[in-house]
Amino acid sequence: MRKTIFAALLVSVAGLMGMTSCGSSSKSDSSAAVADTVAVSSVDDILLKADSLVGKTVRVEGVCTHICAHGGKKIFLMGSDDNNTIRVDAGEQIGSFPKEVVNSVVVVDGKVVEERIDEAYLLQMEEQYKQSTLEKHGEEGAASCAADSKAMGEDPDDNFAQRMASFRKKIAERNEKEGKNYLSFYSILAEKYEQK
Amino acid sequence: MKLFGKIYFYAAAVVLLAWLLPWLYALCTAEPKSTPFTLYSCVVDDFASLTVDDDGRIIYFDRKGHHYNDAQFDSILPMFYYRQLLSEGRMPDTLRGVAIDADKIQHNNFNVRLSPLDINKTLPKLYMMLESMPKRVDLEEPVEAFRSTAEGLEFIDMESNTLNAARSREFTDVMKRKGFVFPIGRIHGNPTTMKGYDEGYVMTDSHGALFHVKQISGKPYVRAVSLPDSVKVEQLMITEFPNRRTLAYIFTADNRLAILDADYNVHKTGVSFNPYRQSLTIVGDMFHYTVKVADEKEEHYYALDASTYATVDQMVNRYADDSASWSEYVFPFKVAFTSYNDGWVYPRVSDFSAKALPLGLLLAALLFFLDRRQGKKKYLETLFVLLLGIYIFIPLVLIKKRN
Amino acid sequence: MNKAIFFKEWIKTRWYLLAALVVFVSYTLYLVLRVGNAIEFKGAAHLWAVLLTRDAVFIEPVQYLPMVFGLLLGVVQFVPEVVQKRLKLTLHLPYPQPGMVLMMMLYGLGALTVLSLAQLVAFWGFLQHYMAAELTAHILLTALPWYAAGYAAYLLTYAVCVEPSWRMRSLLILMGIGLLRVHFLLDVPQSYNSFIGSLFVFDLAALLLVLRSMVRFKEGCQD
Repeated sequence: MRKTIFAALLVSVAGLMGMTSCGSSSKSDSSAAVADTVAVSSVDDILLKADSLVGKTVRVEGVCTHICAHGGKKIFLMGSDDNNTIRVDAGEQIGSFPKEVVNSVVVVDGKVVEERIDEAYLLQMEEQYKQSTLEKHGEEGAASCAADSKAMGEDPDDNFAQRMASFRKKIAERNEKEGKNYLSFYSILAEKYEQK
Repeated sequence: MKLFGKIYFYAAAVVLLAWLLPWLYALCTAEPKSTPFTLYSCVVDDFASLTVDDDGRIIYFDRKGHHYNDAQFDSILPMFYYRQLLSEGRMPDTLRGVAIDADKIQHNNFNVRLSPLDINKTLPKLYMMLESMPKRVDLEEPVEAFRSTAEGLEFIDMESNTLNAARSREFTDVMKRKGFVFPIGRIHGNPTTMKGYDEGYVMTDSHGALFHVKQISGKPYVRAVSLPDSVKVEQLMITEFPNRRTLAYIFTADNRLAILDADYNVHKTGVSFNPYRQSLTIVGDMFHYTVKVADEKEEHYYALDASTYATVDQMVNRYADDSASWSEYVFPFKVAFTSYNDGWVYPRVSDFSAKALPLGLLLAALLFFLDRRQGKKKYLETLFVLLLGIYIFIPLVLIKKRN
Repeated sequence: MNKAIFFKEWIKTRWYLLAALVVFVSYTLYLVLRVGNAIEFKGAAHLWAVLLTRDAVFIEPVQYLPMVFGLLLGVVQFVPEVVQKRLKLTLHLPYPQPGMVLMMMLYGLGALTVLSLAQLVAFWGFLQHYMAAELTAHILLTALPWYAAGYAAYLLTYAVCVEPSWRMRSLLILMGIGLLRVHFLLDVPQSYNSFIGSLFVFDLAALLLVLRSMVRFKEGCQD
């Protein structure tokens, strides 16, 4: 009798422990999920801390001011002004963004990606341009979409040569100031999004 | 008691007569002041004007003295008369090397009118905030208005008259982060839905720094504008023209017009303009702005290049001098309670004229010799007539005791 | 004695004051309903927009009411005194003459103040539910010169009624028209903000004209 009770107790305790651990693990999963999901940041904040966020998953909210006309694979979120704009590329899970997101507040979960433009990259772009194999997106250049240009701090009216000169100038300035001979442009590879 | 009553009576009489007599004179002698309608011509590179002569005929001419008929005048001002030219098939395809069509002209044409009355009046310090990026093409009526306090902006829902604390905090935080120091200094916006788009407000903070603030999808858009050292903002005027090339006009403390373009660059122009005393009219097209600055004495025209805002030409039209009027010999000064330049009522004493002293002397002598009384009172009244002329003479004569 | 003076004035003016009260209340209710209907049909936001973008304050219909009230109060209070030749007797009572004049004036000014204040408070009480303080102030500040005109009209009417000579009466009437006109020069809201204080003081100072007329009346001036 006592053995039965003891066994029953043992089973109960084991069961309880199992449930608790499941509960804990699910709690820790959701906690981990919560911990994984950073609080909603503004575009301004992301751009301010971008270099420390590279590779990390962030949740950013901004106004979608533009969607890429070719397939809707990228959108641009604006923060507190048009100098604080970040490109958001649709990840595999999303595929493409619907046109309705334009002029709406959008919250995006995704990884911060850094694109470095250094002299080697510029030389490669110039080579591709010469061979006319540079990805065309409307007129010319990889970032020829005006919104893209603005997000990269370019003047959308500049031609290719002017853009290259502008990049080189900025690289030189950064090198002098920070000792880094490349420019960093940050974007987000979106895993999921919500239109508000 | 009686003396104080008398003093009040005479004081009120002088003020009323100094107000009403010159007004009556102006009413009886008013003549229209007309000046030629003038625009800068991108064809002849000169100011072109039209006026009506005494026989009612319209005369077209430019500054060099060339005269035109109406068809020629249309041709030298194609940006202004483009509809007439199009209807007659005389519109050129290109002008100054630029291909043009009606849409392009219409898109770039604009008119601006600003008078001192627009600025010189008291308005409630509440500003309606439109949504600058509405879901649909048409602008939506504003639902909130904001005020500025020393701590920040306060948004009020207009329908319920309640404070929207969340939006107030959101805007205040973003503005402070961009360096805005509350309270607001100058501010200007155009909170109406009768326009193509909305650019919110341009405003200065308490240190005179300039900002552009609007609402985009319910979120604050705040852009600090870098001002050259030589530009101190006195007044602002937001511009929401179809071509979206400019964001605002800045009227500087040294009475100059500066233009804030859509890329937030400030261009100081050669236009001298005092918004408190002068009126401003700008007729703009894709090549030039014709800027007219007018006051009581003259009209000053400037032609600005529409791309660089540099002054290309200027000229002055002075109004006919009507100073040879007999009012200066009759009225020692004038009192007015209102002005065409502002929306305020208060007594203004102006147009002091020493030329009225002879009349004052004459009236004083008349009163002195006709008054049979003796004593201090007589001399005092004579002195007042000398100084205040007809304004005190009339009530003195009217209430003189009949013997 | 003061109570007796007030009671005398009350007897003279009670029916007029009752009629004036009815008119004031009616106007107030009418405007409250008008604004309330506009809020009901077009929304409060529309009213805010009109106040902020146009020179309208919604209570324009009461513009001349205080002036008319003041003028008629002066007539009701003092014409019987003069026509029925009671004023001379009043001034010969054992009471300082200026004091007598002022007490009678105080009664009229008091009645004017009570009605004007009550109307302003009623407007304020209604408007502050639907509008921000800036807009309520915008409306009420615009109305202040209209109420100041009531005081000017009352005192000038008093002076005209009591003045013994027709020549002087005519001059006072002309002066009164000019002074009252000053209160209605511009339809721009809040246009009198910087001037209303001085204007009100000048209006009240018209009691000096009343005192002068009273002295001339007692002296029997007929120039």
